[in-house]
Amino acid sequence: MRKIRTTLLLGLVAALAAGAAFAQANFSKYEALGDSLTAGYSAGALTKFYQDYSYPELLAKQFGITSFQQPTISDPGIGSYGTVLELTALHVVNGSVVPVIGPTPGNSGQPINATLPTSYNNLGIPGANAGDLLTKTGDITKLLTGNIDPNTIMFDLVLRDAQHTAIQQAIGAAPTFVTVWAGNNDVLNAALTGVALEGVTLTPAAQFQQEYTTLLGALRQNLSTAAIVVGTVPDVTAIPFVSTIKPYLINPATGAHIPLLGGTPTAIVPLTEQDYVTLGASSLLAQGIGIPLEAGGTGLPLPEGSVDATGLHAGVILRASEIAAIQARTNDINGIISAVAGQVGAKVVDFHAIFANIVANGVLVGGIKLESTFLTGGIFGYDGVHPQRLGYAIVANEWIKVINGAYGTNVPLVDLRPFLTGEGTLTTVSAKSAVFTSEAAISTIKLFAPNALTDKLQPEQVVRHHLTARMDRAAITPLSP
Amino acid sequence: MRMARRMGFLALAACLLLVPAASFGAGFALFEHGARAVGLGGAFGATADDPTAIYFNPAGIAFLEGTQFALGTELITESSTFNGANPYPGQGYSVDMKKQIFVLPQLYLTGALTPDLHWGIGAYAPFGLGTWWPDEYAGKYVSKRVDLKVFNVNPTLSYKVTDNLALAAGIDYFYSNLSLTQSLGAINPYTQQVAEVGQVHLYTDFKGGFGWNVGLLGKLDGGFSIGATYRSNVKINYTGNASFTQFPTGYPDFDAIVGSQIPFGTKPTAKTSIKFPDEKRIALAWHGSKLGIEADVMRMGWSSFQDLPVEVVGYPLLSQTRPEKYTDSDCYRLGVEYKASPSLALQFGLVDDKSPVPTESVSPLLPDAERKGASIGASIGLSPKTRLDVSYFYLKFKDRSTEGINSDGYDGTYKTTANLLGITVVHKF
Repeated sequence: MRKIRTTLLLGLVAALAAGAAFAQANFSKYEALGDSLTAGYSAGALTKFYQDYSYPELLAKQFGITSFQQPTISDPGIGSYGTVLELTALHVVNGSVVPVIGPTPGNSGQPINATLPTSYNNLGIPGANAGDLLTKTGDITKLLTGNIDPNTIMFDLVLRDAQHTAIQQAIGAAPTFVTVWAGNNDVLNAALTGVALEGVTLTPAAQFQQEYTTLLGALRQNLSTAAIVVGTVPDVTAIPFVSTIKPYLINPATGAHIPLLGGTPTAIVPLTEQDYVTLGASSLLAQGIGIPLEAGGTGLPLPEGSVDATGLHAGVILRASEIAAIQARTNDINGIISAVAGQVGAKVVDFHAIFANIVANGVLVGGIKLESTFLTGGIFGYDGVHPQRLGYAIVANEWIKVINGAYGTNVPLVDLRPFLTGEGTLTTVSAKSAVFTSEAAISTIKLFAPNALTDKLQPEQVVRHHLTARMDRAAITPLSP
Repeated sequence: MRMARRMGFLALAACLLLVPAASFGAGFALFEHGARAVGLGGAFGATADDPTAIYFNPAGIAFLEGTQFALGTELITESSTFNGANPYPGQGYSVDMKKQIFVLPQLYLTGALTPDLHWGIGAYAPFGLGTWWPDEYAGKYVSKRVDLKVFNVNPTLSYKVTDNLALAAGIDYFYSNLSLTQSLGAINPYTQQVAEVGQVHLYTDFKGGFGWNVGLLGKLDGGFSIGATYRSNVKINYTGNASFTQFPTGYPDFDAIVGSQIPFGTKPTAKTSIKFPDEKRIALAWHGSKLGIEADVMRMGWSSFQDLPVEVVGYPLLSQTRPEKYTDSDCYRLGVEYKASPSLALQFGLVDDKSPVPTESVSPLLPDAERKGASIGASIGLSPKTRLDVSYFYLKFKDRSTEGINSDGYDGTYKTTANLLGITVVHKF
């Protein structure tokens, strides 16, 4: 009897201790679930140079974890187009700066932590949406034997055993602390392909509700004492891939706006000021496509995304109605994330608000104002979608602020000085002497929509397409394939 | 002879203008305008019995005999260390402010027009700021160096209403210039890190601004006296130039683009303005045959300093307004004087000066903090007509943390101390 009572008492003490640990957050074993943002993907690739500074890796360091494991790829990485993007030149054309960004020459990098006998601590899978974390598995042997499938490569790399999903691996690792930043790809595909289609590039709200509830529910059910912190989805107009190119040119003599051209060769529809043009248009615009004849262009339209019998054709225009649909779905998803988080006792980092503030006000670090602008803003990297190292460090600090606020912990913020100035422990980017090439654009779009057809994005293809579509056009010169 | 003497005064005043100033009252106010008053912790508004009264309480000069002058200086050294905090510039980062010696001038002249109406003219530095950090420190994009010099020419008239009550009114003419130096940083797209692309040095011409002041001094029964003064705001609109210097980064095409955005090698017109705070003082003193005690309370109207607008004319993108958002602040002063002999008096003083600077504005430009100080001084009679005042003043600033909310994103803790040595000669003709 006494023994039973003692056991009960011990059990009660243990339960209280566990409760206390939950309230205070125990960072001893950390698993990160998510997509490319969690993986530390940047500049169109997964590569050690950026992975070493992924926000989960930075958080683990601040937690004092010394053996945080990631599916590291040797530089120059593996991207959907081959290797990591680099800036090769900054040209000044007609007074505006034209960067040349393309894949680093040479062969792709190799997995260098593929034989780790346990699951990775960073289970961020580039390209994954919320549902994929519940259903997809991956097989590393395909990668190691050179049998590369671009549709599954990132799952093969991160999940490896061909049996266990991301959520299963996360639970199996028995973490005390979990972050989940999922849902980005449930809306981002629409922005990157220029096609906002329910069920195709936009995950229906009801489906997301079911998937996200299952995701967090499984975590809470199996990890009853773990602290869970989740992130919301930023607005797509916060990323340079969407915000950089204006839908018009400015007449330097008059200051008047000249709308760029969209639509089809037979039915041109000039863009309105509320429409968006993605970075995918960069190399097309450089060849005069999308620019009216009177403004010195070809008079040919920029490609709009479309779906036909052959598949989804990525375009470079986001019409105001498409942006509105993406933003509405983003709001749906963020509402679901916050509500489900509340149900399972997870804390929320509101990246939607954080990035909106960065767009509106920037972030001042050491007197330097960091902004969401492409190349010169300091936060986003060469693909215009993902943060670069400094951006990921800022993202890590936003997680830490919420963690400290929610759990009363005192996790130190990441020191930004090495990231900003290069002083300290970071290695700096090798100096290489950079237009967002069509390869760069395709690389970025392919990550999110590996099945999308990118025929419309290659200038030669576009011209060929236009020429066949518009037989009334005068001088047709055959293009070499 | 009269003309020669006046020229001499002007020449001296002109020399004094060239002397840099520091900040040793909270904000960038300076209170060290006479060695004896500093020895009393600046508690001199109800005593005000020598020519330095022109600053401390101009009503006091109505009670001075004959023609008098006071000439002196305050030498100031400051030691300030900044210890960084995350996220920038990071824990473990430490930097010392460059050491400078500041020399504050003071010159006062008083006389009687009639037995009841006395005149005075003073010249001293009521405000000033000098912060200078090493070239390669982590806050170089916020500020490298600031020099604000303010010189006040202060003529005044004081009228003895009764044998125990005097009222005074005067004009303040501020003559001031400002220089600001900081590094220019831009994100180098090749490295995706900040590059020091150049430096901007803003320097203004000396500009003037008018203010006014009034004082009251009443002598009560039993050795008590009371004083009250008010000194108005002074606003100065500065014009000058901004000089931009480019630093090569090793990336020629980046340098070319930066060079097309910033007018390097030119000196466009620059404008700024500062509204200096008003000052209120209430003072109470008691003087016995050997012992004197005084306490002063001051309120500085620092809420006048809400921002520092810098306009580079023709370059709106290079123009910026620094929010400062100071609040009014109080200062408490206590002084004791003991007349050891007819030719020797000793002073002792205590000061508690609150900071007007809100936490988010505590920056390398002005790492302000509440400061407490103690002073000692001596007045030595060199002859029946000439007195030498010397004083030493030690100021300890409270450690000031930016608490992670500095508006420039430059966080950490500033630890500052200052030593001040004052010498003033007072002569009665």
